[in-house]
Amino acid sequence: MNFSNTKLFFFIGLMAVAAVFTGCVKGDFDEPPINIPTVDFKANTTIAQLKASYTGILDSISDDIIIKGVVVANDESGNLYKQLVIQDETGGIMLLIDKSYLYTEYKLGQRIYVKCKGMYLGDYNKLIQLGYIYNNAIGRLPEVMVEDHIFRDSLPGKVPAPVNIDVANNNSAYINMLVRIENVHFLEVGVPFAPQGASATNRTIADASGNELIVRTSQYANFASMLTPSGYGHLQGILTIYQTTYQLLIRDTADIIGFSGSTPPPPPSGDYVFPDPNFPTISSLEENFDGITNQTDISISGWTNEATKGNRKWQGKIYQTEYYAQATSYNSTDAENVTWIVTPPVIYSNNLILSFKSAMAYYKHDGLSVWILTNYTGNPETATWTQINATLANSSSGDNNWVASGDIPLSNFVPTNYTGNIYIGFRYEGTQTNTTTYRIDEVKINTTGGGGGGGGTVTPVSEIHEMFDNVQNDVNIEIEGWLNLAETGTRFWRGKIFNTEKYAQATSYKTLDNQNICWLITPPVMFEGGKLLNFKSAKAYWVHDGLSVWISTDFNGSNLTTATWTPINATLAGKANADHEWVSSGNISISNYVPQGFTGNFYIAFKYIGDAVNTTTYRIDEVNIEPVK
Amino acid sequence: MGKHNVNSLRMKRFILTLCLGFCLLSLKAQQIQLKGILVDETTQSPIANAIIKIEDKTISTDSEGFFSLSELKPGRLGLWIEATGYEPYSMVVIFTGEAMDLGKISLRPFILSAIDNGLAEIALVAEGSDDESEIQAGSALLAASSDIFSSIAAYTFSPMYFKTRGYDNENIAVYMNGLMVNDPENGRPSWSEWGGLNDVTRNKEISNGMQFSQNLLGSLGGSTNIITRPSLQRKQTKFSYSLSNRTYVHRLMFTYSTGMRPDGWAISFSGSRRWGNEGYVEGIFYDAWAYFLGIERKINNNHSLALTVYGSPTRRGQQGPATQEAYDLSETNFYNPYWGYQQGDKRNSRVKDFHEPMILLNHYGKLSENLQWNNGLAVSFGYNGGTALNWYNAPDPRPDYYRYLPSYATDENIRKMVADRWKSSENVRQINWDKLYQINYLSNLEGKGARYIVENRRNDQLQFLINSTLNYQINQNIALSGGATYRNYRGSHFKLIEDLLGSNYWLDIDQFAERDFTGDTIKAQNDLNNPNRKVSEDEKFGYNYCVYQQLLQAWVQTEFSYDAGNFYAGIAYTGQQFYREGLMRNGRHPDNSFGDSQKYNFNDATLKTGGTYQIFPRNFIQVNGMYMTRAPFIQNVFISPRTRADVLPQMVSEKIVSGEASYLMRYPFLNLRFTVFHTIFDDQSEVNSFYHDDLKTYVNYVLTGISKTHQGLEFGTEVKITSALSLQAVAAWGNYRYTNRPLATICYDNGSKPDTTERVYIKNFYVPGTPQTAASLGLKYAGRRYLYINLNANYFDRNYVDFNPERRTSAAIANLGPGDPLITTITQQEKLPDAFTLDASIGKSWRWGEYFLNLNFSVSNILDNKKVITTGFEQMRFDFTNKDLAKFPPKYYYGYGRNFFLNLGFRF
Repeated sequence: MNFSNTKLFFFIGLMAVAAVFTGCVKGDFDEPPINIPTVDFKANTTIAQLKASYTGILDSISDDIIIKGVVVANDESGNLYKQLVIQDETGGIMLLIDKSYLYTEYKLGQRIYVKCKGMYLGDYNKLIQLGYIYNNAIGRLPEVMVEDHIFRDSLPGKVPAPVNIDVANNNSAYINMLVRIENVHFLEVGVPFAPQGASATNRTIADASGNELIVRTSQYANFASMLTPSGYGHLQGILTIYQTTYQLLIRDTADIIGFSGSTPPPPPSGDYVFPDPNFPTISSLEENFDGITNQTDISISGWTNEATKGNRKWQGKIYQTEYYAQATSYNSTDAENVTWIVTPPVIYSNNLILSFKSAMAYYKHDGLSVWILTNYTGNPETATWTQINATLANSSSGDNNWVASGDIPLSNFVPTNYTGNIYIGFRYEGTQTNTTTYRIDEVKINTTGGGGGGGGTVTPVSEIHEMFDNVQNDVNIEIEGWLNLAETGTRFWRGKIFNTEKYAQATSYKTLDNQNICWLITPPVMFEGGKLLNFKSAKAYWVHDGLSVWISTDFNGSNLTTATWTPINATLAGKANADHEWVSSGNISISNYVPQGFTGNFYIAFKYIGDAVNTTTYRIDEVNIEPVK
Repeated sequence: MGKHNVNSLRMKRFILTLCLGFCLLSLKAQQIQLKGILVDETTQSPIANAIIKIEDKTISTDSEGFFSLSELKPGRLGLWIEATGYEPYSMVVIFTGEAMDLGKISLRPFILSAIDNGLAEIALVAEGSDDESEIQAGSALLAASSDIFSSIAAYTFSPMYFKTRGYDNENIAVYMNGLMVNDPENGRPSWSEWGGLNDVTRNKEISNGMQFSQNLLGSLGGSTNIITRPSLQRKQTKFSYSLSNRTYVHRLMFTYSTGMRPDGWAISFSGSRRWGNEGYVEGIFYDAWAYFLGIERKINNNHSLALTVYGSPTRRGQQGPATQEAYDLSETNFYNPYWGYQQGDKRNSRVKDFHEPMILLNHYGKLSENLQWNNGLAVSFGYNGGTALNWYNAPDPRPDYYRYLPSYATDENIRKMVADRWKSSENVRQINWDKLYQINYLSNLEGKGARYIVENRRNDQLQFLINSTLNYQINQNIALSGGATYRNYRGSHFKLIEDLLGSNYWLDIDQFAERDFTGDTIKAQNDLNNPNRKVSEDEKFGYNYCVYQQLLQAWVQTEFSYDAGNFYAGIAYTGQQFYREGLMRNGRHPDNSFGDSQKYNFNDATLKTGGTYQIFPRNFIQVNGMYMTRAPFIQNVFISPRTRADVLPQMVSEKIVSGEASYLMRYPFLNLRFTVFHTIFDDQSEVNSFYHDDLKTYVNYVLTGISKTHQGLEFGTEVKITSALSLQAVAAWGNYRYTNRPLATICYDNGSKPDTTERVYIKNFYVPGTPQTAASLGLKYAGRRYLYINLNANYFDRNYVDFNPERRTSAAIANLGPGDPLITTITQQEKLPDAFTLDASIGKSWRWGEYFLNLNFSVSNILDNKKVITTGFEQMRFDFTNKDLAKFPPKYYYGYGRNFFLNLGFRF
């Protein structure tokens, strides 16, 4: 090849390279953000009103009727097929939709709006249904019409608590609603709920007085082959009617509660009774109060709810999508109130951890305390309670703000080598002047703690000033709205108290994991045209640089890997700094890390990476995010 | 021929006895009377291995393109030259008896050859049907040679997936430098593994049909040996750019070859990229790279070593077939259900993604003037995957699922609404990716697993090949050749999670077994050794097994050449052993899914013979015949390899008997071949796997004991009207039929029913997948200054729809009285409409000194006929209850409308 050929060769090569690398073929695709559905119209009719308008003759709805309701049953288990049951405060109704796997879009707790105009209201053997017309009878809404009639609103919330009904009563008001029937037993024990071959099977339950009810199950239910349990227990499900016969449709096996043994549980009593020691003991517990009824004294199987002074008990409360337990002396006519809510017995093990969250409103006094009972031997008189020093909502918490208790190792409150059961009691006391309202939720007793995350609210905030002043020493950090995640390994960011300083710390010192990667992530912060970040960091026993700071604008609040994380250039404590010396990050302008014109929210993450060799301890404190002044 | 030769070898003696009748030649001292050099018209580089026929003699050119002839009688002699990759050439020489030097004879490359103009690649990327079996590339294009019929069939018939003689590709043997590269599991050549390397895979030894091939025993449907030997690559630096609207949009190719350098080294490099965000069909992206490096070292005058490495990493979106209803609704016959929008970008759910490099080491040895010894060693490895959507207890995400189409609705108004929605919304007509994500997100909120994922079904192959071939020219008339091949193969089959689509994990259970055996936690497991596994991206799930094969093949053949004709006979032995190794213990088949299966052994033989006889000058008769037994391909042995090791109920080798007779004319102005052929296949078996809509599970449908007959005619001619203008005409007429009623065994993947057996009534059905009538009439102008123009009119007919065997069983027509017209409607086979297309191409080359520039432009289907159905197949579903054929109508692929290929090449 001579010189001119060489030049030509390079020219061609250059052209080729340019052409090849500009000719991009789309390979990676953006992950869509989660879509939170909303509607821009309002319901104008309640479900009860809609049902009342039914004349008994199939007819199309010609008025602009819009109802709304929350999905309380869908087709997930296969017991319902192409059906949804929704209910509002006034009643429930069954929707017939010609589409399979409705549950993938219409989860339990999903609020939906139904534009009824053009749909048909009819009944199937007296069960009122909303759908379409098929062979001159009530039929399913064709799939093609679904998007014109049924609208999801927001993400799925909590499912309304079931209404406790008594089989003996007239329950027509509760048809197509989620109900709960307590202390019943199956007449046929040990037979499949629905043998294959028959499209559906009736089983009969009865209460202690012999009042009966049909439980109807489809052969396509995924629990069809399950055997009916023995003993007494509670059933939940959708109450339906066939002509004049009531039927209960169980949604899935979670609706079959507490059946065991042959002894009926003790009847509910207003007197203070310690739980039956024979109540099946459990080794862990999680109670989110999802089953409660608003403004009603709490009654949860195995739990005790007792007023030892006055008449006030712990009540169920629903606020927006939140369900929780509440006690208050506000507007009480009693001179004094003391009320206890006590967990069922939990089998004690050495690494048992208690966590819960509490909130208060209208502060007047500290009224909440937490107790543990260990030496219960069957005689309530000899039982002694020990108080647990948990982080509780207090005068500085602000109204209605949830405060995490932190992970509380129960071994601190239990005699060494203790074996047996433990109970946790939440005690509220108040008077006509000490009226603070207290709330508790997410009570967990297990070996893993609260799951490591404060989690909870995802409401974006405008500013953050986190001094870690509420942390507990050597307890995984849980701050409302913050996420504490262990991506690899079992180490989380922990609270540390040294002299008077409180801060967050991460370390791989003495780790047993192959690697530790843990993240401490702020709540979403609104960018609002510009924010400044500053914090301080310290290190101890330096062997490696293990701390980094990241920002994401597309983090979905839970899945680290699908988000884009961009490193933030901050001054961090390093090898050159003395151990425990706080180093200021300097003011970091978030504008440098978001696109121009950005209007969304961002998350700041403190990421620690270490392993058995790279063990440097890192600390952070005084995390401030505030508007640019 | 002296008597002293006879007692050297027993074999030789046998053959010599056979050929005594041909012994007509007397040996004389040789004297060169006519000589010349063949060169490429555009590059002037020599052409090796070209066949030169003059009167009744046949010789070939050496590596320098040189040829010489002796023993000629004076007079007007017709000279006929054939070289692979070039147009045939003929001339008349007036030979006076004095030695003549014809000097340089320039041959014109087959610039229009299917491979060069990209047309073939339509066929090569055409996509599979429901049951995932890919439609095979028309076998014709694998054998583009200097035979007029074959070369026309290769490029003008390939858009119709024309298969020569109706044969599936497994009947064509493809070799790379003498090493067999047919897929060990299904016998098909994996053509795409060297896609984009057109410049360096151009040298081929091709034999059509059962014709004799010097270095290989060959196969029923012909054989192709691609020769990438660097010393045989033309010395050049070449750069070309192509633009097309077919599968890819752009192609860049660069090739640099040194030829054999004085220092004994020859190096050849080639690289290319083919890419485009969308081809003729919507949603089809294409991104393929290719590389090739060949290094040859001449050790001495008799021995050479060559190392070759090539690969073609490719990712491309696929086109899905659809029913006519879907095509009509979308108002285009090129509707592609495989893609949809994700955040505004077109995303294809079916992506082929493979890279299977091959490394070869070849030895070329000349032990003496008469004895050639070639050896090869190769390894190939890599990955080969194809993605698809999978879903768990969620609505079918495919937009053209039959329940989403208007025809599924019974009410007229609803049907209209569905049709309107389908027409008006691309989110309905195509995959709605964003919605799949949202549904997964909702599942995340409950802490549950994925409802939708994209899975990657992998078939990774690893093989070692050893080959050795001897060619011995015993004397001027007799040649003996033989060879042996050993292959050790492992095929790994498994699925990977390609994309969780925003979800947190996928639960590895069989949802169909979970549904049919409620409460049975064992049966639902895909991997009992790791039950209820939560699978993340890039992890294996679903199934995981390997098949292993060891194969040994040995062959020997001999050829006798005389002035009046030639004759050959050959014999081959193939022995093999294969077995399956399960890497997961399947919950439905816990006892025969994990670990090694039984080992299966097969011994097979091939016998082949034939000859050419010159009845009078320039008129030949050629007859070939063969008999072979062939072990069933691994793909057709294990009936449900994903879940268990069970094999066909009857494990027998297939039997093939075939014969062909041709009449050939080779005049300078006329080139003609007319062939009749007849082939009988017995004891074939087929395994189809598909999702059974009624039973709601995957089923494996196994047909055994299939007999077929393939008979027909082939005709091809080229007539020179003037020195620049010629007329080409080719035609194929076939009668490819099933000749018996095979047995079907149905196996249910979820184990919900025991295997059942039924008789399938398909006697006299047409073999589908190719037009059985095909013809083309062409005009070719090859003018001065490197200008050429081609025009072809093509006609196709008698292309039949691939049928669903279940519709041809007694169960399908149960409850119908005798004479019920519905019986015929249900059981008859559909013929696709006939088709007419017009193609044209124009090419021009310019030369400045050592620089060549050429420009080719070809347009296919000029009349823009968008109603040409190339392939049709019935869905493997039948409405047994209502016998409603409209419920599961056949699906079709349409041939592209007007499409073009523009190529600009530059070389020096």
